[in-house]
Amino acid sequence: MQDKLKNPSLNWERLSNIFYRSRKLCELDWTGGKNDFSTKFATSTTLIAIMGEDTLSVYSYLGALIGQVGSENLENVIKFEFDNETEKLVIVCQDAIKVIENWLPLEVKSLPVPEEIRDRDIIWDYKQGIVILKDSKDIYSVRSGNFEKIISNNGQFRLLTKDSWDCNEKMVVLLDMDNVYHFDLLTNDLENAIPNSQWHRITISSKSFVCLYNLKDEKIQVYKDPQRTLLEHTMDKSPIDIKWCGNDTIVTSFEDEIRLLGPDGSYATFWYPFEIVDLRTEVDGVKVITTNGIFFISRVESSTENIFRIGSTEPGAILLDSWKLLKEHAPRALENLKSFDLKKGVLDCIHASINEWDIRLQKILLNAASFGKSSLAYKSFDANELVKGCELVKLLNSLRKMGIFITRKQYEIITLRGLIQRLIRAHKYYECFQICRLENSFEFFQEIFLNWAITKIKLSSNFEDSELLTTIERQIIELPEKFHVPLAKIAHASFLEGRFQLARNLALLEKEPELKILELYKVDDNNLALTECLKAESPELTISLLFKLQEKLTPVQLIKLLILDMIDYSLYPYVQRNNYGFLFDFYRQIDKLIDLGQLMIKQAQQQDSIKTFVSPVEELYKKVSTDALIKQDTELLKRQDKLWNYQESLTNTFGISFTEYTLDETLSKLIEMQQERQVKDVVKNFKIGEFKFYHIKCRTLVAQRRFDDLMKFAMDKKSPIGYLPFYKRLRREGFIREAASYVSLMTGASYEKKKELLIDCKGYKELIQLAGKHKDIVGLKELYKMVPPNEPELKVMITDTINTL
Amino acid sequence: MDSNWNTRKFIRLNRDSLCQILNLVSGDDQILVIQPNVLSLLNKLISFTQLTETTSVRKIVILDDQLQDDLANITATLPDIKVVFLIDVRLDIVIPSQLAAVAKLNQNRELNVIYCTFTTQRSNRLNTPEENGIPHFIKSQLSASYDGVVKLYGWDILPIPELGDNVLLSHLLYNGEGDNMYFPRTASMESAMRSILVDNMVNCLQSLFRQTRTTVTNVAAMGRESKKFLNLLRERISLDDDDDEELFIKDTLYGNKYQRDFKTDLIVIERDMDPITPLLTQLTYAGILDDLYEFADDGKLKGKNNVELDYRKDEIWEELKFLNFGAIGPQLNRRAKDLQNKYESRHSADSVGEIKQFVDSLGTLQERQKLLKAHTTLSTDVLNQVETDESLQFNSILELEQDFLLHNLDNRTSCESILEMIYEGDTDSTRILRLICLMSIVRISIRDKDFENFKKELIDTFGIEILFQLERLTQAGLFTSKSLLDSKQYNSKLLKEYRYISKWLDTLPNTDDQIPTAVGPHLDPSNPKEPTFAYCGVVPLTTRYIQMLYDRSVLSQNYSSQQPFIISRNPNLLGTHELLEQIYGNSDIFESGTWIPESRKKPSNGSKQKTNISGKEQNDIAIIVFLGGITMGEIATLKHLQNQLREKKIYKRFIIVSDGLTNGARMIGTSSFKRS
Repeated sequence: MQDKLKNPSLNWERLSNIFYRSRKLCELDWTGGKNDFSTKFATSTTLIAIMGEDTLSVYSYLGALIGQVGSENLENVIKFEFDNETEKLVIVCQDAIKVIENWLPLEVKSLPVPEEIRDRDIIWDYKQGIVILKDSKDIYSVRSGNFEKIISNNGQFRLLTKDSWDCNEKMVVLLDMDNVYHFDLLTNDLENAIPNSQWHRITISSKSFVCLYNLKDEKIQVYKDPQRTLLEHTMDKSPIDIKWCGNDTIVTSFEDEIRLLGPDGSYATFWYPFEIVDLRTEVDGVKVITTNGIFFISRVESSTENIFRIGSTEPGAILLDSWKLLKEHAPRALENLKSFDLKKGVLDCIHASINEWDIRLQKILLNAASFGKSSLAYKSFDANELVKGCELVKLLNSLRKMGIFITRKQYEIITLRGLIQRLIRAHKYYECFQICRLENSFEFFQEIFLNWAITKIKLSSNFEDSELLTTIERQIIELPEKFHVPLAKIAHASFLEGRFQLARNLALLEKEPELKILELYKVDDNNLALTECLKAESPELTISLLFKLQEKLTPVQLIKLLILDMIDYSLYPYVQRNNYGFLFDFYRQIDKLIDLGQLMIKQAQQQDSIKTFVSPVEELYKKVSTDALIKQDTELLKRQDKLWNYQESLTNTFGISFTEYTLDETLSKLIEMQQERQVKDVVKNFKIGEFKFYHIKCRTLVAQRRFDDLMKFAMDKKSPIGYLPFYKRLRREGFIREAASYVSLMTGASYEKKKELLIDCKGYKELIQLAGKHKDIVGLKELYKMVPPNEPELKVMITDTINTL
Repeated sequence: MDSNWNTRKFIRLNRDSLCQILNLVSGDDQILVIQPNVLSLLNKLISFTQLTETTSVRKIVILDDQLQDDLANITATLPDIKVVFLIDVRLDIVIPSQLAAVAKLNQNRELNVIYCTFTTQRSNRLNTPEENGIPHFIKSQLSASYDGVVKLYGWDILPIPELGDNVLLSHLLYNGEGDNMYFPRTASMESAMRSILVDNMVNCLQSLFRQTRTTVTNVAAMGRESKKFLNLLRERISLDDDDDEELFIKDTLYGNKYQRDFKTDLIVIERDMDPITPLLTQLTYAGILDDLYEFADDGKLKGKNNVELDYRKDEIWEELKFLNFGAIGPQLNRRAKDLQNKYESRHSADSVGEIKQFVDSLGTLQERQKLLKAHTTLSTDVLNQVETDESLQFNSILELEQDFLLHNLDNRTSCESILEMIYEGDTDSTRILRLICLMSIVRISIRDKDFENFKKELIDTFGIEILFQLERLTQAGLFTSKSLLDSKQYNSKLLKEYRYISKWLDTLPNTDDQIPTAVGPHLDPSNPKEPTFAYCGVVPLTTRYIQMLYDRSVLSQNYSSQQPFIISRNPNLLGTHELLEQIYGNSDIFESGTWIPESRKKPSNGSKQKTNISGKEQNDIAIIVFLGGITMGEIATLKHLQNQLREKKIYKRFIIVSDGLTNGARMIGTSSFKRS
């Protein structure tokens, strides 16, 4: 590391006007003969799969074992490769296509060849979801998840080797003996693009550039539109492999040499000290796998080129120079900044730093960018660019440490989500969290944690439930606050694994009540589900659960559960409030006699048949001897019974129904009927107080206009309630003349009060007498004015009284 | 914060979400079948024309026994029309039987049901199609009689302002059968019904907080359910996932980094804390109307359909509703004169400009005249009833109430007065029961002899049914006897005689104002010093409690001079536990505290009230949740309290959120199964 930093441009190669460079990703420093490339192998952007004697192993670029597939899944294997999009390993056997969904525990999704095909044919070759059968050479697509025939050959074309066809997302190109067929996957059109031409190898770029190679002529041809050849190249020796570098340049490989082909026969060469075993096309370059290490050839990005090209006068290069000058010649360094487009320089430096892999270079470039940025006017530059740049550099660096060697462009295509999914598949949970933290993306935490926990449960068959629980709990504490752990799902997974106790305990830890309850319900612990549900204090939730339980349980079981958990919480009875049958049963079972009694009364009042219910209620109440109030009320109910019996006899005697009456009404009715004997009976038997009797009698008599009887009643003996009630009753009913006559009986009332009452009922005569007695001359004079003019008699009376006074 | 609580906006939000759901259900023509209890809400939100314009609803039918025929008629002419049900079973839980019946007959049709709910209702999460899941309770009830596809749509409702911008009623107090969710007819149902009420109110508040992006800082709870409410709310809020923006706002406003001066108080109080107030005769304009005619859920007076009392359109109502009825006359008079002067001004109009001005204002003048006339008629009606209707016994009851509260009468006289009223036979049972309960509560209990006598006399006069109503009142602690209390099986709502409570809390202040009566004149009614104007000279207990949270001047003068503070911007129950222990026998049901701790940085300008640049005071939001129903009088006195605090430099904007309105008739009435 101490060596002086070399200008990276020293090993760039130029092809026409574009620079290319080859950089070493990593050593293939593996032990134990794994790098025996004589066996079959496959690569993806981050993984390498190698076929051993009877196992297929997958490693990261750094040689860490990710997973293994045993021989049971390798019968009749034809080839294996990684899916470009998801990096899942696809094992192609003669009769099935197997996708490895998860490594530990091994989860294989097998897609067998449909039976109608299996009888007559087997798989011949497979590339990225396109299958060719051996005998018929019919072509199928399995991209949708099942076999779909896309081309029936019917002898149209013959494919000689597995190199004579290729496909990408949009098309399949087939090299027949004398024709080149294009098949469009979107429109399902098969077209003979170049008739009468012979080619032996083909490779298509992701942008549908087609590269053909003729073995005999050693000729390479590239086109997008078959009518227009873009590039033609005659090789001096036959290449071992031909691949695309990115999607625009052809790479040919020889034993230890790589050539990038340019127009007009030009090419650039990279030499390697070891044997080249494979090429792999990436979105922005090509990976060269040698027996000793992996290299990456890519085009030099314009920002990097601007800065590091020898003799560059681009803003980036000057900015870097200025920054280097800063230490020794600060004024000049600052002066320099004025001479170029600073903003572009800063952006170039940021972008270049992302493209570099050497940490020292990254630092220098970012420092220069930061230096330049600080001289830019505020608002003319979005500082987030720099921050984002730094974050990306940090992320890519830490990915590299994990053995994931990807460039910015590859990261953009894989995306964070893809990366997390790959890491989860490799069980690198800790790394997942690290990356999420670097990216400040906490939305994946849930998925990561869920996967971790479920895998943990599945793999730890020799652990006790309690051990697993503590492990999971310990991890939960590590998580950031406010983060919802999907414990219900984990619980469900452990339920499926047959760990019921663990499932229950995990479900109990779930924060979201409805998920928790659902899980407990699924674990079949009704009681626990209900008690937990009650804790959420959400009646609607509880009732939803109860309805579900009602379906599942027998009525007896349900009532048992209610008694156990909800004896003092009447939610279920509330919902069943109009189901009297259930409630009668329920209350009887739980011995709530008072509630039962009240329920009866409620039903009675709704049916308007209170009479039939009173004696059962009375019976019930009698059983509750401990309650002071109920005891008292039992007596009152008895009294009511007595009334009804008496009314019954009255009904029989008089032939009019009395039973609908209250006691007061009964009495009133009897007074009205002038049944003095019965009236006395009632008063005696039901201990009716004198006060009340007077009120009732007075009221009844007035209503019947029996004024003489009323007066007799009033005079019979001194009224215990006084005479004001008589007055009031009469006055109210409009009998003012009669009312006035009771005023004089009110011996206790003051003169003023009486005067007021008399004026109110126009009892002028009485008032004149009264005033005369009280010698109230003033009052009389006032009265004189009050008396209506059509009553001369009264006026005379007033003057007479005044005169006598 | 203040502007987030533009409560009139909630009406639009409710309307929009309904329309959105209807459009989501389908674009085809629809018949909307409405459960009757949703109707009053719907009427407040949207008119039929508006509904047909913005959605594909073409017809509206009521979900009743006629429904089958109505549907048959409509589908005969419009066979392709889609039936959409709109129901509210938040309180009933049980779906209407007619809905089940219709579902049973239409097995092949898809069943679309919109149900009222809250965004935060947990059970809504059950409403996702999952195999082996627990279905939403509406779905499971429907599937008992119906095999087809049930599609449930939750309509998230916010409470809307009624009576005033700061009074939000959620109408959750009475279920479909008219039973009171807080104080149900059957005592054994209380646990279930209160839990449903509390759950709904918690959701109601949580949706409000979400909508207004409110973070509560200080809380106080008074009462058993209130405390439950508070704990549940806090727990549910903690389950909420805040998005980044929310976290940022919270951190900025309440984090430690910055000084903060935003306070939002949440005060929860419930009916059990003050059983007295609803038993009293109300004397405010709105209160008297509620007592005499009763406000229905749609905000109209029962039996007075032509009177529309909408505070947004009717400025007279807005200004007068919370005044003592005695002050209404002069106020109306003043307005009449004012109006007259305006009309007269045309005589002095000389120039064309002035005449034009007059003509332009003619419309509003006529409008005002109309309103003035309506209110004059209404208040005359009230006056007539109060003075002449013997069955009301308005003045004698008012007098008795006052005597009971002031402890003017001994046991014997009190009983005799009530008995006389029974004997006279004019007054209905509800009014009598109100008085008896009042007497029982203020004295803790009634003597055994009187207790039994009351029961006997009431049965004799009103029939045996009243016995069970009385049982219920005893179970609720509103009507008890000495020996029942001694048996420990029954309790009284208040454990201390009212004469002590009234002294400690000064609920019967000896103001120089003449104690107001309904009709008599009294001094300066528009600006009373103490909030005694809503009832017979008494300040409601609840009002005093809420005052006590901020202002201890009353307690320090009448209870104990040792108070931890005299005035506080944060609601605080500190040092009141002994008092509450004496009144309720249990101070554990009271709680106050902070949900967001004070920031460590002290505001630089000391504890002074924050004033913004224009020098105007900023109001803290104080949400007062009232469980078990609020009375008109209490709303009025709380408004008065708000102004009282303002004078002491505590600037609060009280927003009252309650489950419904209550008064004596409703409270006593729901204790009986028979409710007219």
